[in-house]
Amino acid sequence: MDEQSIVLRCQQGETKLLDQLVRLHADSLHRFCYHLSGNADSAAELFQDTWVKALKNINQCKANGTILGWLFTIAANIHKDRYRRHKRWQILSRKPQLALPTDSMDERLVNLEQRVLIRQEINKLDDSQRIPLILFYFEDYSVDAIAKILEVPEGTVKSRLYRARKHLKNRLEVLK
Amino acid sequence: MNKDKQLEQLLRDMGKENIKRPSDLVAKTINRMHSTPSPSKGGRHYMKTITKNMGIVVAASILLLVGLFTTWGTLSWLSNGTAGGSIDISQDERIIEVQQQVPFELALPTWVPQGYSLDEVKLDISDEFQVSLVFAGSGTAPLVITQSTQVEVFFRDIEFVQIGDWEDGYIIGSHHRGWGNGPRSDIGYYYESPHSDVFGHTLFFTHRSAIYGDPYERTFVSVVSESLESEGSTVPTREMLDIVKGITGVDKVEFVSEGENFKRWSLITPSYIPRGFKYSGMHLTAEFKGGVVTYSGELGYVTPGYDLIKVRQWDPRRPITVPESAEAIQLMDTVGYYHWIDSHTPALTFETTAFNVEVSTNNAELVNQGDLEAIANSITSQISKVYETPTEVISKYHVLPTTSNLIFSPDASMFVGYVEANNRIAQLWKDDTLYDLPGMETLSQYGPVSWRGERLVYHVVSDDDKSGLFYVYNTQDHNFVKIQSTLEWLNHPLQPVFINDETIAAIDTDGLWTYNLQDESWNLETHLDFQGGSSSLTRNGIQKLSWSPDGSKVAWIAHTESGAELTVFNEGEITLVHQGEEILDLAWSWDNKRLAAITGANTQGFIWDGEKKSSFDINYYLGNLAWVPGKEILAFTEYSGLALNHVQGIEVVHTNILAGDYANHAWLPNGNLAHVLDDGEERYEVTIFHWQ
Repeated sequence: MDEQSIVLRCQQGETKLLDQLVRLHADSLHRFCYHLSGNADSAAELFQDTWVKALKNINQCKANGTILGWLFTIAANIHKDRYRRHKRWQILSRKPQLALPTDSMDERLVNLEQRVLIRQEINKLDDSQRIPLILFYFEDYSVDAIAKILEVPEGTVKSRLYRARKHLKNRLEVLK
Repeated sequence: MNKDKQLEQLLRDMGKENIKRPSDLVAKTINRMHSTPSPSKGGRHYMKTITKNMGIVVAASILLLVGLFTTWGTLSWLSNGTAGGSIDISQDERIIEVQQQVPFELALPTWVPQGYSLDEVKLDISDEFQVSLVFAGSGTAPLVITQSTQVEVFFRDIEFVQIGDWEDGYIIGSHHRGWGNGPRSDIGYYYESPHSDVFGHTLFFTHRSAIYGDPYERTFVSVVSESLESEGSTVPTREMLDIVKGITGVDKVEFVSEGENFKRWSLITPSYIPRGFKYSGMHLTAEFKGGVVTYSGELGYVTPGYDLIKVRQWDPRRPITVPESAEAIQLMDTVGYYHWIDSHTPALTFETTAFNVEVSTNNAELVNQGDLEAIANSITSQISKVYETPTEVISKYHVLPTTSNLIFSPDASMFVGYVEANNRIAQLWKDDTLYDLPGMETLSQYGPVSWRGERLVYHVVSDDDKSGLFYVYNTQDHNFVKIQSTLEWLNHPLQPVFINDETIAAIDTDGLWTYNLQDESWNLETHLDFQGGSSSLTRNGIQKLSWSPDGSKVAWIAHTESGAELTVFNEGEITLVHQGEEILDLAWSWDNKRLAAITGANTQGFIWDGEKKSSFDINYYLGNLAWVPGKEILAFTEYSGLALNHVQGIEVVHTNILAGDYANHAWLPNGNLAHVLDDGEERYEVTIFHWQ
């Protein structure tokens, strides 16, 4: 069954079918949650919360839209609400927990320190910059697709990506 | 490779990292999804933004173009936005739609700053009901007014604002950094943080709004003006006060110099925190549920390297929960439980009479178990010093089963208790012996006794003799004087008191009577007109009477067409203290200066000092309202146990709870506590506790 059909049938009450979408998009959404929240525990929590909210709001999902994009939007909104309320605790308590690459460490060791720094700095970015950055570099979305997900013009996406990169570049220079 | 390309490559490589998803995450998620109520087929939304009917917007715009300022013109005003100032959004269809879906009356602003208009109306019913009104302005950050039975605030420093003459709590917390090069002109505290990129203020308060038809329920209303860097300036503080004036309809909204309301939320600050950590702020949550407000707070301490210690404190009526694997550790005056919240976060959780506490850290290497214990002990030691409790056993006596309502002699060596037999009889306990007080021969109802030295006076009535008899009983020789009553009452024994060594007093429908033991005569001392005026008796009569300990004042509750009336008679003057809400109980302070009362649906009370009143919340009142003799503590039995409310003046500043069944207890004149319990062997035991 395709995604759109699953969504339509969920909207008609067959909510158990949503489990299939959970399995289908588990990796993508989990990665997105990880990049948003910055650590494994928060990512798992955000992942679950996103699906719970998706189920509650399934009637708002456009069956002909990008399901994954809709899920990213939900996750980003949940994270944003929490972030606004818990901003200081998150900033103050968040210690970047590296998801160490499972392939050969030898190939990555040279950049490991930089990656640690970059992750820390990504965590400090405002959501308006962090989300496009994550979607573009970590989820391989195009500028056009990101614009649709975030419901902003393409030019806005480009400028936010530019500002995010500029910030990261400056921080890398300072921290060296 | 230039730096841009280097960064680009780095980011791309990081995107290829294999982030490992927990293997059970999908299963857990699916379980959780299906244990949550699913939406109905009709498309009920748990969180939504209420949008306008587009047809009306279009029609209104067209009509506006042709210059017709009718009702349609009003709608177009709403859709196009207002320039701010006085507003009326009560007829906005979004407001009307939301009002139908929430169980409380919406708190609507009647004034907003220039340039703002209602942009969005949001309703969230996924947890508790929460309504958000979002006002947008050109070049300014959004103004959001949120209403819910819960509130959550996060601040470092706070100021307090009084709304009208009510003690409704509200806080304005400003974590605003100045814009540009100069300080802002509004009032508030400035939050200095290396990470602060959120600018704004929050002002919230409790708002009396009808919930489920009960006019005494409250919600929290927050007015928030918060800006990310790109969103523009925030609303000045003084205008936020004006917004609150508009919502509450109260002209007096101003800062107060003393944090009176803060005392309700005064958390214990640890006196020990490991070196390198600094106080960073407080995270406070409060929730109204069933008319009761519960608070919890969290103090945060941080290092520059993002290491964190959190000291979370919450109402002791909510129990602690720790995993079975938690390690029990003896702390000062209590037992703590050391456990791990998650793989990175050790915690030490413990109970106290003031708060239940959890101390945790995100860096177990920097803050070890010993540090957590030291922090915990620095908290418990403060509670021991400041909040004493009557928990040291000094003596025990056995009494008859069903004995209750003990009334101790002035020297605390004797007491009278009431036993449920065919009627309710009074017994004197003295020197390990129980004596039946005279009056039983008439199979009567005994009223409460009043002591004067070694004598006591009480009134006894029966079905055959509604006037009843007064007895003055001498506990030394067990002789007594029987006094015929000329007073009439309605099946309830009166409550006489000694006003001096030779005179007793009692109140009936005519007023205040006195009886001189030498003259053996009754005298109507003061006629009290209970019919009409500020106090009138209904068929039920006076519901409750309370004499001040020195007999100089008397308060009574009467039920009238205007509701319940609480009246105080003092040296010839009658004062109506309260009218309206039902009053359940009264108690005079031992210094004769303050009167406490329980009102409403067992969930609120107030203290009156002859001039002002101050209210406090209760977790369901069950009885035994009394001031602890010699202490600034107002005590009563509530749902969770014995509430010891520490009072300063007329303000309740802190509440300790002694958990347990305290339905049957009494205070000795020396302040000790007598607790009556079934000892499990069909005997009742009176245990006397001393304060420690």
